[in-house]
Amino acid sequence: MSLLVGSFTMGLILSLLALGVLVSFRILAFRDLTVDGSIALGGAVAATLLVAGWNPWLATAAACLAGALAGTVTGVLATRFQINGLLAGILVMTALYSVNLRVMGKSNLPLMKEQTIITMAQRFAASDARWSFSRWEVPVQDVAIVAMISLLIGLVAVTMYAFFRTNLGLAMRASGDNEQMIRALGVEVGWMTTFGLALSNGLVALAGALLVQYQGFADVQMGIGMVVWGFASVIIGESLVGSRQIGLLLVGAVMGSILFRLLVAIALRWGLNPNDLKLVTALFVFAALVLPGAIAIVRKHFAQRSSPLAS
Amino acid sequence: MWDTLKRLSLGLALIVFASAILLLSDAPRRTSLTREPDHGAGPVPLAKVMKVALMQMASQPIIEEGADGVIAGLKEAGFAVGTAIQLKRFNAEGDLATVNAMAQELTGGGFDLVITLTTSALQAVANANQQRRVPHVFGLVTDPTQSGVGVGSEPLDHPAHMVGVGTLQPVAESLRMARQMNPKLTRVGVAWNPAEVNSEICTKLAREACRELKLDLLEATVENTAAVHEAVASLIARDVDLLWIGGDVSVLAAFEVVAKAAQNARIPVCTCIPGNAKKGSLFDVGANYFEVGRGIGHLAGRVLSGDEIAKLPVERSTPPKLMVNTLALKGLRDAWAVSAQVLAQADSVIDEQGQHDKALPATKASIAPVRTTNTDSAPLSKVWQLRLLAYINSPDVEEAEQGLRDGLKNAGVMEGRDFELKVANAQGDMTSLHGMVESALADHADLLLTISTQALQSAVQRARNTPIVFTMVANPFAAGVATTETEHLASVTGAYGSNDVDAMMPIIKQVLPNARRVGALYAPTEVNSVYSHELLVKAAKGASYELVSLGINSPSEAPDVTQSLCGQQIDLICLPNSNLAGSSFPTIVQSARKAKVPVFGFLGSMVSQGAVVVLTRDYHDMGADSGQIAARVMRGEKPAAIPLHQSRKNRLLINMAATKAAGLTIPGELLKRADRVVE
Amino acid sequence: MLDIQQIAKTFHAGTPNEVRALRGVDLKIEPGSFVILIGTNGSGKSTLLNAVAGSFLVDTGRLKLNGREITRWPEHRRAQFIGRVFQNPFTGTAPSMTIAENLALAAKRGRTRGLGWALSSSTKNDLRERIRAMGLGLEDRLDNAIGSLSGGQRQSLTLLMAGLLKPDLLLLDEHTAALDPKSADQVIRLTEEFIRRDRLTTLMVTHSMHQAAHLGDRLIMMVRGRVHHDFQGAEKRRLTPENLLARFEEVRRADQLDETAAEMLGRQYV
Ligand SMILES: Nc1ncnc2c1ncn2[C@@H]1O[C@H](COP(=O)(O)OP(=O)(O)OP(=O)(O)O)[C@@H](O)[C@H]1O
Ligand SMILES: [Mg+2]
Repeated sequence: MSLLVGSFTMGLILSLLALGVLVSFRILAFRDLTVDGSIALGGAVAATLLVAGWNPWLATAAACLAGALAGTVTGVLATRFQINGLLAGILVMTALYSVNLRVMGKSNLPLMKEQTIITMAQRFAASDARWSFSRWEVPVQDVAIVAMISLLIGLVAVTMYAFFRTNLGLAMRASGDNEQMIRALGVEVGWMTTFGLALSNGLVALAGALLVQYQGFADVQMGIGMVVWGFASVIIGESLVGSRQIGLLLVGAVMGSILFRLLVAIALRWGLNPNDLKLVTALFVFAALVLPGAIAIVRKHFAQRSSPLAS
Repeated sequence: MWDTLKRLSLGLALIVFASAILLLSDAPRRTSLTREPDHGAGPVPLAKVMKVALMQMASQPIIEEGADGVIAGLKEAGFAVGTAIQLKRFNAEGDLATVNAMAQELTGGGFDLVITLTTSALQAVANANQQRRVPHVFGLVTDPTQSGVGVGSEPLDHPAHMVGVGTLQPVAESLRMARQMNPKLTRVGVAWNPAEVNSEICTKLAREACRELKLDLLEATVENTAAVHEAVASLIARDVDLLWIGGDVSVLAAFEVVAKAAQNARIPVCTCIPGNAKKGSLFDVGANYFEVGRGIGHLAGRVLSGDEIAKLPVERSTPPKLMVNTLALKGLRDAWAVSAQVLAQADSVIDEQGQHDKALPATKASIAPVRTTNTDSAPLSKVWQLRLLAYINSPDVEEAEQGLRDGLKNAGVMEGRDFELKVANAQGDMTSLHGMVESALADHADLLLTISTQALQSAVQRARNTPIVFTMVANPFAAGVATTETEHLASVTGAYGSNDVDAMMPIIKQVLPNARRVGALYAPTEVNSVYSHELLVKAAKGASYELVSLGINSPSEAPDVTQSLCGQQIDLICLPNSNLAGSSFPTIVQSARKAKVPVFGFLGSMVSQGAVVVLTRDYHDMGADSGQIAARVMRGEKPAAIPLHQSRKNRLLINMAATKAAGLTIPGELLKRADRVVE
Repeated sequence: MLDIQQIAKTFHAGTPNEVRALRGVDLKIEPGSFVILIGTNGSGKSTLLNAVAGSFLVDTGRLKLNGREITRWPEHRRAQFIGRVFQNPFTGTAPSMTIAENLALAAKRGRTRGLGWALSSSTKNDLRERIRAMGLGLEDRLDNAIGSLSGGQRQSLTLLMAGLLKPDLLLLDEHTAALDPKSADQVIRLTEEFIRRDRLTTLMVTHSMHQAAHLGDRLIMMVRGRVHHDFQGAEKRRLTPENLLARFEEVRRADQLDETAAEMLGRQYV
């Protein structure tokens, strides 16, 4: 039961990463690799400020802003300096590595004693309190954490949903959907892309900030390969909801992230050799990519068989 | 709306399905239906079960000992935990903010008595309890008067709701004993931190005692642990005959440094905190904290039985505990001797055969030295579920794993009979590391073994009550699991050790007697590398080498950075450990060879790849140390009471071909010492 | 209204692929006029429209709209005055967004876009009425993604979007070329209706001689990046598809000789 709750928490935290990737990859159609750097940046900033005694919420917000700044830099490089988007992302990601080191002053910063959002959630329950559901036990503190994170993610998702239905949000979506058209309607696409990347990386940094508070330490290397989890969650989520509607996409990304962590937990729980984990991950994503198409073909096949007149 | 739900249904169904699978995989391990103990059956000692809070500041062994003593004392006073009283324990894990939050909670009503251990806990509770809502018994306090809570110097001069026990370190006794062991003793050196209240008290007492004993007390102050080395060196330069340590936490944290400096100067060290004899002090005269705890327990018992607190005296007692290490007598400059009388008096003696403890109260765990091979191989009462978690794959990790297994075996616990061991390696992916820890916990692992810092940190974060024994960690203090070897997270202990750069310096001197400038490459992004590099900076300074360091951030930079380093007139490269140096060593050594610069390294694999000399930490040995520690935990010792162990064993490896290529000759003496010579 | 003064544009200047798409175009368009633009393939019609819309900046010459100098304005800034429909039905709409959302985007053409709801219920009702008025039967499909509509439907919607906020200038670039004849007729009918109703100043490119003859009050024929002929007033009204075609034949024959060859021949035989 703890494992279940733990995977949910991790899935929810990383769903912010997925939401960030959703904004850049799906909404702006921008393959942004800044993500690896900005998740670590979020972690580094949050951890450093927490150690300096900041209020956890303020530290988390500051981390989020730092991520947005990183996204802005990528956006400016890509739109003002006309650098290829992939390259701009890689540039910023590389630079962030050093920035993160500077921020933390060392490569690994433990948060064993600092007050964090997580410890604030834990404060709602006694450390040894347990809930038991037909003998599946779970520490109440873990439930408090997952509840707090859920609330936070829910808030973020609802805000994003609302934002993408405002005039500005609509223009951002159109920038990724049809650049030529939205330019003809008077929107400066470069600015929109920059703003979108700021939003995206702000979300990713928020994920980083929560992650370090949850795992209790920040490490410069924590971002490596994260963008892949983000893409995977978005793609799984998209296959799950089978729609490009913005609300469904948002929920899909969160569900994708949770499902992904659950699958990883099951794989580990069933004694899968962790050496094979990456392979299994690739298989999940492959299945998510291929299954919807396969299902559609099967459906069509049956539809044809049942109505012979149609052919 | 309906359409939206339909579209979400697949995802929700899959999540529910996956959760169900996860839950069902745990089904066999659900908690068994335990019944509340039936109160009606036994004798009912009191009309009401009283609620007592026991609050401690941190998880140091001496505090744990004290806490055990309190519980024993309460029981002797007729208040057995679980029947007569309900005891709730609070541990602030050294965090002042938590201490205060806890103090608020404890004094908010709901407890009939609060017992605090240590001065900070006393102060926090006294502060929160200014309305005197709850009776308060304190202990493990050096001097209650100095702690500013209103306790005067007379036994009955104290607030009406608060009483306790003061335990002074036996400062005078320790100095007297030193004089007894060496009647010619005249100059005593002490390094202490003026910021520590207890240390200040001890030092004052030492001044008095020295005046009385006609000894010269030479003082050197430190601001923090890092300054201890210099302070001690200055004392030695002032020609002291003995280094003495009172209750100073900063200095004790660097005890190894003190011991080493003393050893080099061939003088002994003695302390007022029991336990340091194991690490090389000649003797420790300190309080027996278990006994102190018992006294506190008895006092608390009287409060619980209704004695008026105002009429109870604040006791000041120091039940002594003496630990002697006769091994430390070897090679001393002056004539020190441990008389048979002292040996008979000692609670614990360390000699060639190991540690001999006097019969101790049954509740107290015997503290066996880490390295002794435990011949006791009786089966354990249960089969322990051990989970080994590693972060990356490398030959060193494999060596450490083998070491762990060997360590367990040597300690007499057997796989299959005493434990089951499952191994998981995260292949360098931090998120799967979490999954592995979660999965191990869900599997109801009894003990987690971790290899590498990241694995340790992940385990620490998720595992609340499951003990953790780590290995292959360069610096557990930087990793945040410990502040000193004895002050560490309650459930965590293990063996650590980094490159022995100090030992490398004389080797360099032997191979290259004329070398002046040493080049170093390190990886600024790796904790361990930065730490090792800092050590190298210090060691090089100590050996009066000029150090030229450059950082590398990726394997592709290695050739260029090495070339530019070689361009700076260095005589050799000394490579502190890092993952990066390990993986890009072939390119580094190639660039260095072109510039005819010999490379000295700390990683075993480097010797066959072209390093001239490698002084490697023996990871097998470190693993074995951790294995021994794990076995102690499995035999019932509390991890909190097991100090972290620094592995010091090195292996010296020499590559003759590389030596020749660099135009060097290795002195025969060094060759004889080498564990392996590669042609 | 629109004042085009000697604009020129060369693509890939100084490379073997150099194309002089516009070679000094001069054109003045009065408010409320409906100008048809014809010409052979590659004669520079689309380039002219793009230059006016600001898809790129011209090399030389000046552009004035409503008395404002817009030569150096970027495209998104000119958009506040200009509505556009493209040849490709996919260019004018955002496929994964709904009909309502696309229209809401057009309803803010050239204005600041803030955090107000894009589709308040009043806006939505308003838009529904506009669509109903077109008579395409799309008013009940406001929440469908535009990508699911046919090319003709999409082009009609693009037209509606371009005219939603009455633009000072409407640019139509062969906007029926990709449609089947029936849809094309439908879109042309809507075009006429909009232009007449709002008296929009319009510049429309077409390859249909029929449309060229029957629509508009002025016709401009472009050849090789220049205005070749300008039919106005009565002259335009007299044009039939047949004599337009004859004109085209002439141009085409002249075109078969390339410029340098024509020059050489001229020198040798005159
Ligand atoms: N962006 C561009 N880059 C390079 N060359 C271009 C560009 N746009 C137009 N051209 C070239 O400019 C010339 C004029 O093209 P334009 O599209 O204006 O012709 P058009 O009159 O619209 O022809 P059509 O009737 O085929 O649409 C062509 O030779 C074309 O290849
Ligand atoms: Mg064209």
